[in-house]
Amino acid sequence: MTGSLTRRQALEALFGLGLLAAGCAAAGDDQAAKGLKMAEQVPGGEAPTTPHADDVAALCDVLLPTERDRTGAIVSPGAAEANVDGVLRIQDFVALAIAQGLLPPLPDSFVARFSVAAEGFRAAANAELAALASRHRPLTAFRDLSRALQETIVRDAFEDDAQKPLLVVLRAATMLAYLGAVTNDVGLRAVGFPPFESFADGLAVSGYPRTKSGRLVDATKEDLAALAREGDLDDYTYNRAPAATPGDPLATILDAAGDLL
Amino acid sequence: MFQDIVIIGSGFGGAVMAARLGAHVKTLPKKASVLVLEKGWDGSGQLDPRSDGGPVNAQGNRYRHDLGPDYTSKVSQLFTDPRGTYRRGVPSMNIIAGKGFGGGSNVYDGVSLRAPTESFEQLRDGRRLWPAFYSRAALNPYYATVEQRLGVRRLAWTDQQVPHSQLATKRDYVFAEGCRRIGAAAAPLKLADGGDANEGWWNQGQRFEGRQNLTKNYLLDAQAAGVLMWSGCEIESVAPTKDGYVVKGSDRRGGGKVPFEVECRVLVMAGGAVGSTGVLLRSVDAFGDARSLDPANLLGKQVSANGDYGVTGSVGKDYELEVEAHKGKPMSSFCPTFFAEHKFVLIPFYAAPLYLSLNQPSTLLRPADPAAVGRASTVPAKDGAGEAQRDWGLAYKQRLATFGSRMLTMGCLAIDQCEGEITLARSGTGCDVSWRETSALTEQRWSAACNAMRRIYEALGGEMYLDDYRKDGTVNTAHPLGGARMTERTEGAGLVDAFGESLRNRSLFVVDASAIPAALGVNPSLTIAAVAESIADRLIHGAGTEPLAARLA
Repeated sequence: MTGSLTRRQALEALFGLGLLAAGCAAAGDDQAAKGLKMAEQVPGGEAPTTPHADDVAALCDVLLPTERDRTGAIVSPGAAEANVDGVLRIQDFVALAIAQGLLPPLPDSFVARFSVAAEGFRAAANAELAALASRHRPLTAFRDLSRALQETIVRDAFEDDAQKPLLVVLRAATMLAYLGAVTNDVGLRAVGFPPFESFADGLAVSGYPRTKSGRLVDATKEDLAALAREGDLDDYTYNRAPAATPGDPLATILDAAGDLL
Repeated sequence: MFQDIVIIGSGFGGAVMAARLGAHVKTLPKKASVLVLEKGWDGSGQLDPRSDGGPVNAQGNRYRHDLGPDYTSKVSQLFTDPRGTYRRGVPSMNIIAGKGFGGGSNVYDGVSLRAPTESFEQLRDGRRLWPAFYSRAALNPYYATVEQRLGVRRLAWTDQQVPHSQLATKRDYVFAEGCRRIGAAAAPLKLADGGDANEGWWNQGQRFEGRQNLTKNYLLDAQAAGVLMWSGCEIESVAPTKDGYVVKGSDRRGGGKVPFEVECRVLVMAGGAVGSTGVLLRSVDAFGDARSLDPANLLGKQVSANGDYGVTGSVGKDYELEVEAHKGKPMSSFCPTFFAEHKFVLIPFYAAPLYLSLNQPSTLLRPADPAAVGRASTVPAKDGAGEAQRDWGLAYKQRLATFGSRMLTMGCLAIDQCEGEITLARSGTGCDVSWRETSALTEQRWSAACNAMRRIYEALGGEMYLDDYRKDGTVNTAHPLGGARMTERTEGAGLVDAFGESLRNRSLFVVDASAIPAALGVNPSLTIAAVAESIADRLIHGAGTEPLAARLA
């Protein structure tokens, strides 16, 4: 267990401070790829304003902000870098997400209105957000409001049964993009997970032994035990037995095959 | 159209029946036909060439692990309580079920434990819930048969000689350490081994090619025996005929929804607890009183959640990344220590940060009082100013970052008191499920499990967060049992007898989770398959019942 810090350090070294690189790579930002320290970042609410393509993009950034340093470079990815747009392009996202338990059941009228083609969903969502914003500042788009006012609107909307469904859907979309590894793994890396071994193949980890540098080990030809002794085996097992519990409490509970008696 | 035997569903009951009955009828002097009807698609790409599940890919199946959320829709189905599912403040129930050829094996983790002796000896109102035939000892030979066919093996903590996929994971080592610190112990699990421990990224699906699945064994056996398999066929109802039954449904292959009817002499319902129960509920009227499907008025009632109860928590910083939530490894250990006294086992499994972030808003519900039990015993996490924390925005995102790498999910499986119910959906299609009330005994077991899990988290330097049940009484289960339960024929306290045969309808069988009459306290797939093996065996040999050959004559 004491190796966890070393492991973390090794991962960071391996992946160039993975969470930083993840966001930066997605954003194509060379500066961030150099590895900025978290301490240099500024709170999202004070970050330099980034123009958003539409109100939906602005709202997603409120729900899951991209964090930037004082120069505007990304230090931690948010909804945009996680490609929430890709999730919102999923055909009939609302109905699909409800069916899978990603969303609670929503009012039928809402589902009917938003269970449409992706383009239609986005247009309907933008229209709803425009109406929401105009209540607070007429003739001003949600994306053009200050971050503080945007957050106030979002907070109030979550408390309003009529407005909540859209917020819940967009929140689900941002979280799905961020932690669901739908189109990239930047969110997962941002919360501390190592990168997928192969995103294209859908492999978080192959299940086969690798060295800590990521090289796949041919278990039929290489000496896994020797690699383990050298500390170069990045295995998902410890291959060691946990300490025994005093009194051997399993002796009278399990049979020899490992089933409960 | 006529088929001698029709099997509705292809999970652990249907696949076993298809393989066994299919092989048997080939040996009969007069050949008989067997047809399997499956609502979902053929993910294997081998069983139904007409399946509309998309092209077969390089991995030899149609649904190779896909990171898109539509993957899950192809292999699973969610059933919910229409009265208030998901945090609406009423007791409710969610059931996740497998779909497609292979049924539950499309979404299961391969855990293959034999049910403990005590599971078969449960009483209700002084009456044994299981028919007299069933006991652990009686099922042991059938368990062994299934274990052999599914490649079930017990994992190990340590061994330099076996493939890594046969060792318990780091996460389970951490869990075992937590158990040890509270005086309990963990043991490696028995898993159905697909030859690859990797499940890919669990949030959105599991690697089809690497995991064990009934399409790789029993259903292939059935195909080799000449059993016909149709995917995409949703069954509306069944009805009696002069010589057997007629199955009515719609065939969605080819893009349409073409109604069909198949007549048969022997009908096997194996669509799972919700699937079979739903078809039977829609079919009751067609059978009338004399041939009532449900003479004791128990159809859909007394459904068990198999005691499923899950919590999420964090482990201490010392174990950061050790629990490896991201790696999608199968469950590989369990803690049986508490079974003798409290009738539950604990299993750690991969936490899914996505579901944590979405389904436990403010995600982190804490026990209002560590000793509190029952509903509404949680409070949302508070920020420094004492405000309930938001589940969106910068602070939430940063909270996820500190939590994600230390997430560990634990679940208990317990012998509950079957408080669930399956009814026809108010919406007119499908089924609703509900959990109206938790009995004192179930609550006592869940509270004991909750307490044990809390102690494990704390022993590991972490903290436990509670699930929907503690918040508002929502029961989530992947292991529903019952709905068309077995009974001793002389007692009539169910729908089918010890052979799975309808009490008043010759050669109408129910052989799946819906016939299991009580909670098992461990993952049920192996028991469902073993019961199916025993029924098929006795039916083929006419042991205590009319032989299959005579039924087909």
